[in-house]
Amino acid sequence: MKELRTYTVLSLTIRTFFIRIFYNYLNLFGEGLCFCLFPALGNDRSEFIRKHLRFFNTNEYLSGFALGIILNRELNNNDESVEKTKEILSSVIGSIGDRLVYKLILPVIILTALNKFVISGFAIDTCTVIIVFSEILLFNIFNFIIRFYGIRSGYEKGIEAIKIFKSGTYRRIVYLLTLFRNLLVLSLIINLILLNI
Amino acid sequence: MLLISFISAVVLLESREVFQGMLSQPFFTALFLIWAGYDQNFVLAAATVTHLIYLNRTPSGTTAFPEYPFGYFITASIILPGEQNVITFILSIALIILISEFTARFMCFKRRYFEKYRDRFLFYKGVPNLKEGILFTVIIYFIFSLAVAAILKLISLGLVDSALNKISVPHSEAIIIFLCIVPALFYIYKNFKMKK
Repeated sequence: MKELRTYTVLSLTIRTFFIRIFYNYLNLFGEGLCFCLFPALGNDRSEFIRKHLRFFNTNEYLSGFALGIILNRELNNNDESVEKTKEILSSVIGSIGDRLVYKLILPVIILTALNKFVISGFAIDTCTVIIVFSEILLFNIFNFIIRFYGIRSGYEKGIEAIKIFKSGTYRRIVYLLTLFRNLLVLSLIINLILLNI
Repeated sequence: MLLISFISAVVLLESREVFQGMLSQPFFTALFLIWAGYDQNFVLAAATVTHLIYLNRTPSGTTAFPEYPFGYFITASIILPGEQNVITFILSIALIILISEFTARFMCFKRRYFEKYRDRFLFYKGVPNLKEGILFTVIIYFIFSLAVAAILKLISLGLVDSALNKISVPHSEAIIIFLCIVPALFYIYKNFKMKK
């Protein structure tokens, strides 16, 4: 298997941040996928475009996994399974990403900030600013790492890479995030009531 | 108003098109509004209510997802400066919802134009220019923001001189807290309902 250089992975990672700019109702992320994969393709682009400018769906945060897995299939001449892999990725990555990011991580971050707003009586202090900026920083580190790791892992392991989302560790993380999110919303309600008293 | 429109366009760009690093979320942009001299109580309360209303919604490209980061930023920056009372606060929340929904429809309309890249991919065998794509998007968003800002400014000017802004409402704080608690309870209800 061809080695994917760190520079190429980095270049692909940066491109995934712009994957949505090509979003359209005809093929959803199909054009974004072609745009993101260009640095890894070399000169044979027209054949690649002909093949991949079709319907493709993903979650932008987990798009790295999709890119890595498709590259694994493409660069290693595993042509017959590319379409099937894309179909699997379109449904699986989209739903996992939406659940992980939009149903768990985003609410946890927002509810933490909102709790602090309410505790400080809708006024900002240094602690509030530190909390909000730390959350943004941590989320963006996660945002970068998940894309970078997704490309690398997808390329090295192929479709096996998404088995990470079936692992016990992942399930425990999801369980803890769900618990934490519910605790945060309950604490927000309590804090709001206390603020009124 | 030009500056607000431009920043709003960038907020919309970040929230839906590029990066998605939460930099456009109301809890973060609210801090900048406060540093710009806005009333922190109203700005933070509006951010809290907005977040709680939309916390349960999952952004999807195929459905019209309300663009609340944009709705919040543009409404808060135009309606919320100056003297406020709970009535104008409720009105600004209603405007945030209205603008968010309207922007979602606008986004659907705008996205149809991006099918042009398919032609570029297929017929010119070239790579679409990212700078051109972003510039095109920012210009469209800026024009849209300017139009929304102009409408909001007119509403804001009307509110300044109206009697609504001068009424003293009893239990204002309790009303704002109630506005926060209701969507929070609804959020819990939706989560537990989904679990079943």
